Amino acid sequence: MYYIGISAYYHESSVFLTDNEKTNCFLKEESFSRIKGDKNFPKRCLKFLIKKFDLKNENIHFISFYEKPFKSWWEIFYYSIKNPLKNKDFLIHHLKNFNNGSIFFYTDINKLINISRNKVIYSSHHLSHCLYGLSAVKNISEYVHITCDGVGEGETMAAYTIDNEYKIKKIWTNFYPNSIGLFYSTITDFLGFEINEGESKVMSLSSFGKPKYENQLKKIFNINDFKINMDYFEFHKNLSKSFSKKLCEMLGEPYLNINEETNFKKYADIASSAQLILEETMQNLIKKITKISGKKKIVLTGGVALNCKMIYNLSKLDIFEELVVPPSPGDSGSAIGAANFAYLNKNKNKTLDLNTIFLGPKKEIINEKKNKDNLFLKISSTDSFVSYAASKLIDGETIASYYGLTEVGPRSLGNTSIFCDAKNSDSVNNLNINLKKREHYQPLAPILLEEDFEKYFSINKNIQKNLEWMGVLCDANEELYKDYSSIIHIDGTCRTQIIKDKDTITYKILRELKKKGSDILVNTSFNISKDPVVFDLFDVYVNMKRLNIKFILMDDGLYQTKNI
Amino acid sequence: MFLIPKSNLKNFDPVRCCFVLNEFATAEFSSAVEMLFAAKNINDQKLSEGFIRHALDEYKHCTIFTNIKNKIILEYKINKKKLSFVPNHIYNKGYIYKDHFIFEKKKINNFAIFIGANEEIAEKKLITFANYLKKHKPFAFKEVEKILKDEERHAKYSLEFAKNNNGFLSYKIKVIRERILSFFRHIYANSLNKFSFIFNPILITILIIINLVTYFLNLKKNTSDDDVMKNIEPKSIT
Ligand SMILES: [Fe+2]
Ligand SMILES: [Fe+2]
Ligand SMILES: [Fe+2]
Repeated sequence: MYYIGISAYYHESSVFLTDNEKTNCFLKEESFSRIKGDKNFPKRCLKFLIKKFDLKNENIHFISFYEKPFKSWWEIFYYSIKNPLKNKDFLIHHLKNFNNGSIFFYTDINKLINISRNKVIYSSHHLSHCLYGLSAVKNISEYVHITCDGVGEGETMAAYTIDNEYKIKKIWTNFYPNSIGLFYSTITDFLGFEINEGESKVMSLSSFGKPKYENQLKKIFNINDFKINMDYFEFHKNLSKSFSKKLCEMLGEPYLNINEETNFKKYADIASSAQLILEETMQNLIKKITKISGKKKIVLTGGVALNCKMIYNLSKLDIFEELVVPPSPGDSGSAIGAANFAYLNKNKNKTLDLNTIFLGPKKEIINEKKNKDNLFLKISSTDSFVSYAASKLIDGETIASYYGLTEVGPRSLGNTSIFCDAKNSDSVNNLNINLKKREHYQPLAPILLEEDFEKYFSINKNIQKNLEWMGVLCDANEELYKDYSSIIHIDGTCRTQIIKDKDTITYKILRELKKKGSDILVNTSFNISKDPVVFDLFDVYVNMKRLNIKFILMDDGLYQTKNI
Repeated sequence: MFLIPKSNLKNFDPVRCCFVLNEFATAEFSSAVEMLFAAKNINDQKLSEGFIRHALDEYKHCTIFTNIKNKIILEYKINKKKLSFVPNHIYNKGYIYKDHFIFEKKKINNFAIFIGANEEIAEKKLITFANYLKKHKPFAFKEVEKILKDEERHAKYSLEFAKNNNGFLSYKIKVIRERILSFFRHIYANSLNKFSFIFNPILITILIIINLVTYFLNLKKNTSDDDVMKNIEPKSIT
């Protein structure tokens, strides 16, 4: 019997299916549609699951949606309706969306699976974030669970405690429009980046600037009581931009071209100031919540938790014993939280026991074997294929990976990645600028064996756990500057991932690489910018051709693309 | 390209030109995605390979249009925010249907005619835009010429396949039908936002009524909850 969690309609749609025994399957709609950030009802994910697991009313405990659809729609509408004429564009759009949105979730589901109404249930937005966070820690009652995002069901921050009988208490909430997430995404918009996609660019850019606008920005977001000054924002009334004229009077012209040096410097200063406001807000939030709850260990979820620079800077302040951010803290990970809600709803004092961060399907489940034979040529099939691949990497080759279970979250953790030798600065630059078409101020991330970590990096113990899924930054040691300077960000940090599991191919490659003289690989997700990460073998083939990558490591060997 | 952007530009306006280039890039990306879907779902290896090659061409065309756009943006120092390609907008712009790919709704013989007829139409419209570029941005014309050659080949292959797999008369009828459908699809796509002048006043009236009702509403918000699971109604959407 399966539990199914679904997150959809607002951010990238996703589905999680589990029987809490052997089967876990996390899928994103964008993997099937090939349209990044696809937020439509995840029809293709569900069709895939129906086929693979023979889903029907009888073998499903619950299908659980990650939030209360009407509440979510209404809370935003309710704020803007106070001024119907001023906010009419936004409101009309919102009214029209009523029909296409999550309110008709049951109808959408029923088109695919004939399921009884009492098996379709609805969690709550921030509760789903919180319930997903449980999967990242043991002893959940020792932690306070903080969520922070743009907005969900009219809430923007929340804090929960959970006792050993799984009684969940919400101890504090902050409400829309007072949102540090929307503050940060408004600055993202102002600087000319797309909301939901450009926040990580703002974070990288912030390291190039100084917080010169700190005092001004503190007037528009109060870091002590978490209140926003709406005179500077228009996300409640304008569909095409989230900031008002007043913000332009304060910060100058928006959407400047940052390829010009003076604009770059100015925008880096604005980014740096916004980053500071975010960090100080989160610092105060953590102080407040640890005080109320009496707990010094924190699980942080919600889209804001993706800001790994913030986590890094918070770790230096000695305001918590431990801070854990699970691999997919944003709304798409909430499909897992929703499934957990269904499980808890059924079993009352038990939650899902998810032992791995790789909750996606195995590659064999995704693909038919004939496609591998049709599209790829095996060039090394003996046990030594890993060693052969490591030699290729040392020679400066870029190699893609496609093996094991698929990862959850926005970052590729080795199983669907592109690697190159971090010692080889030409390969690193080629990968970043030519292949991935990333901006010059966005650094690539290193990956290495756990045992080598301390030689090259330092990190505070209180955030160390997040290293397993690239969730935090750490400091580069002097040793790293000797041979691996091309992976170090301008501020001396790296978004490092460590590999622990000796049975994985990623571990074996790193071990072979070490024998050949290099300890660190660059690890970036296997996609082209604006495209989702590869999902099936067709995507692998097409993306290898587009990126001009010659070799691909799979579970059973090193392959090349055939010419078709 | 199944929905071809409007591109009847006359005098050179860099912003308008970049806008059209961005629309073309979006249309190319959309047809790449359609082709890739067909490649994955057809039960014939040779045809599947053909669709993969077609998808690769369309992705390449998307890159070509994007690169030209980026060069013009740099040259004229244009604000690029409104001109950036956001994959998720493909649906709202009508380049891809929200609930299905075209391959899901057509048999392979009809799908081939669909591609062939639409690639021909795309090619014709692209020639007009290419000539505009030839006059104002010769560097771009050379690149677009490469695309034109590909589109010509796509149309030829598809129509040849369709000719061999449909009877002569049925082939002719289907091609004409696709041309007519394409014509209406473009009219529909271009008029999507044009009816708002009728509906908006009605919607605004509804908004004012809701405003009056909510004026008397005083919704209380709880900042805390002692037993979240007990107090949540799982079946409720509110
Ligand atoms: Fe959220
Ligand atoms: Fe094309
Ligand atoms: Fe084409």
